[in-house]
Amino acid sequence: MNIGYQCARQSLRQRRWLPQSLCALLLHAGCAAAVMAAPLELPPLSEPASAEHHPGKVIWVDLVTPDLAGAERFYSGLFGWTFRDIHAADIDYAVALLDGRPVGGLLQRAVPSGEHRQPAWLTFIAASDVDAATRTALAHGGRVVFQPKTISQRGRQAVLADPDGAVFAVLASDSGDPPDYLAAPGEWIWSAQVGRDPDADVAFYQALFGYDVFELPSADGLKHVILSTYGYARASVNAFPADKSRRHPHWLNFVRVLSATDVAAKAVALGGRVLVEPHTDRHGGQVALIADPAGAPFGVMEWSDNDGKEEAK
Amino acid sequence: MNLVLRHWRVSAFGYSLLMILYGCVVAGGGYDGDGGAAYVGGYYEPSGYVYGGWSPGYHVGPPRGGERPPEGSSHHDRSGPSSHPAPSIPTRHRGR
Repeated sequence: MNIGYQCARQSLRQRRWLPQSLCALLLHAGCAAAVMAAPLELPPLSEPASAEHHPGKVIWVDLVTPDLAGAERFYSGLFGWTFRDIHAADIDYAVALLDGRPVGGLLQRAVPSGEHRQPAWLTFIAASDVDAATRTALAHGGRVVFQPKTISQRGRQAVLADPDGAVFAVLASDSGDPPDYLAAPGEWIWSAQVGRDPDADVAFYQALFGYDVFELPSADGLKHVILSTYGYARASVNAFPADKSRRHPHWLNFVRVLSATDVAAKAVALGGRVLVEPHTDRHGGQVALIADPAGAPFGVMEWSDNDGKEEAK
Repeated sequence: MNLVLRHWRVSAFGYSLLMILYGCVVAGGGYDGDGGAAYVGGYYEPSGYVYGGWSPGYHVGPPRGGERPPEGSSHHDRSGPSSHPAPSIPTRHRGR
């Protein structure tokens, strides 16, 4: 009787083993899928949140690089940035900080196999309505590289290309835009677009952001235009240097430094290259163009506290 | 006992199905997304192009304020008035 009862129990256990295991497997797979699919949360641009909005202002930059650890070493050594690493699903992202303030993001992304691609810093320009800006871009000869997307805490953003092909992003920050302060050394201070057709590009960016434009006298006979909003210069649009061969329209961002010469030398020691030797720009300070070890170009710019006039705001 | 077990199995199965469906729906919605429709920070420029090559007079930086447009410069919609100098960058220090 007792033996019969035990056999019946064992048989029941065996019958239940398969469905229970299947359930457990499904449960595990379901949880794993949910975790892997969890949307990436990026820290807000402004902490504490700002009530300010400055459409047309460059408010963020993201480096896309195949070597995140190498980039962290390079920029840490060059500018003293520290990094807060963020891992979500198969994404490795790091927020670069200077004195605890976010100054940019670094995204690890393998170069697609079989392709030769150029790492770059992606320029984010503030927009009040990303979807409207995307439609305006399309209506004025631009192209959508990535459709508008909402990133938790960060805001809504899209990646676009201007009529020349220079790629940039628009961002409506959930936490407001950073206030208009002079960048500290180690922070981004300026952005410039370099392309084939400055007139078409200026018209495009005016349509998107309502810029006032100021064409500046130039020593090289090429067109250089300042884009401004609210009485502040936000960026420049520049014709390619005279030799147009093998040039691709692009945005460049500049970090404020105390000495462009020292930083250029340090960049080389850290594995980077100097693309444009330090030279005096129109404001009287030195600028240089550098490529990081993966080849991403960026600028450095001196700006003394006496450069520029304090405006009553 | 059997009723409890059956409930547990049904609940677990339902929950798993829900999670898998959620995963399918949200998978393209993060910062990543190789499908192209999702936003990807992973943008690379084409390679083989020259960056730089600037002559000494090639200036891309901001003015210090006070630079006026050249004579006969082209006018764009909403151009700054030609009587106004080009503005400079913000110079107010953080914390002041």
